[in-house]
Amino acid sequence: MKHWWKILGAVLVLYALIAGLLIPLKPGILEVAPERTQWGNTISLQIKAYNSHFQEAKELKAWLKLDSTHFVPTSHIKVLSNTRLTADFRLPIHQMEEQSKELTLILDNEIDGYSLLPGAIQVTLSDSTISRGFLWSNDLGRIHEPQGLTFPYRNILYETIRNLFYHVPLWFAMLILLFISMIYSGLYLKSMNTKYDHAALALTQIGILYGILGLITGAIWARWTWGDWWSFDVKQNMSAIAMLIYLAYFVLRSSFEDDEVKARVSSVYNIFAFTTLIPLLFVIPRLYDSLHPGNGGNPGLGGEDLDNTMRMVFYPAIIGFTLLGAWLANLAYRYLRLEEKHLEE
Amino acid sequence: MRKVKLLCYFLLLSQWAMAQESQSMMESNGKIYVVLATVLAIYIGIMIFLLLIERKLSNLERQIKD
Repeated sequence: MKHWWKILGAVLVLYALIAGLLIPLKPGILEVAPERTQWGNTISLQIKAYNSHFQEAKELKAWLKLDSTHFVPTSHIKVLSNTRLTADFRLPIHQMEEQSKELTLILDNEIDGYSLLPGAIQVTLSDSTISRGFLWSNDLGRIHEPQGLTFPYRNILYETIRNLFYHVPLWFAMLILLFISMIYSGLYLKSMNTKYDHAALALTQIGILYGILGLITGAIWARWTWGDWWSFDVKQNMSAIAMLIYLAYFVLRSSFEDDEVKARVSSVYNIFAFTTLIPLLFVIPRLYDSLHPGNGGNPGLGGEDLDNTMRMVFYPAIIGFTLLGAWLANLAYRYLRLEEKHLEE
Repeated sequence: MRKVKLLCYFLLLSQWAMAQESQSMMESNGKIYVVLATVLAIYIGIMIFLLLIERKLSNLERQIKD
């Protein structure tokens, strides 16, 4: 089985497609009305949720949370459908001096598990001074963990969180392919064997194909989450610059008549191009605020952004896209070798 | 030149496809169509690469035959 890695690549990409699209999103809260009220009021919150099962659930609970020891439990819940309900809350008179506070809504039932909406409602100081005697509760009681395999629910992102398995692995695969390409360029300079130069060229071609696809898929994702095709985010700009640097590699190659000079100069250029890629993609975006997660501070992988269910699809997707890219590069390489052999004859 | 032409066709096609899909459709069902568009873009990109290499290979085969 000489071609096992090609099959593995195809299988892993297929797995990323199937698992990445079929595993459901964890239930979450879409929106809440009204958005503001006053301390001491009794309010009826209309809640719209996503992927939830209110009608089938038996233990529906809801709270408004101020901090870890101040909760208002719901006094009455009316289920309208699987994704809609109204919950009544009796808000206490707030003792502290602060004018307005944002409360977090917590919903819980045994099928969906718990879900949160931070800043669900803004509560301002009451006009009336009559105390109705509604009190804080300081304990949530038992809440449920979500059942089965689910991807995290994030407002604004919603289902597009799945793009993590298609947009991000393209960039990881691009880096791996370009890194191997740089090694081949080094091998060429050491041995002067055109075989290595052709391998480097083929790998760069696929790396840049992936890079351009990464820019396009990023623009599509950004259009419906950040609001624009191109937000002039640091990482967007820097990756576009990196693509231009690599496009110059192809221009450089086509500008030489002599094959040996072409191979030598472009090998040197390729090594430089990869060394500029690292600061462009990993150093500069960290120094500035970026819309991309994990920039303007600490690394993005890990923590809340990538849970274990997502890792189960994300890492195989990286390996899959890399092997698929290596397969495509292998085709390009074999073409280049055949062309060279033909020209020699 | 052929590459450039192909790329232009692709860009035109994707523009047209984007114009057809209304805002509300992309926002519906938890924005799942954004994921569909992403996967389609990757598929089309890889297909274009395969088409180009197919064409170059056919040319070379013809040259070798002559």
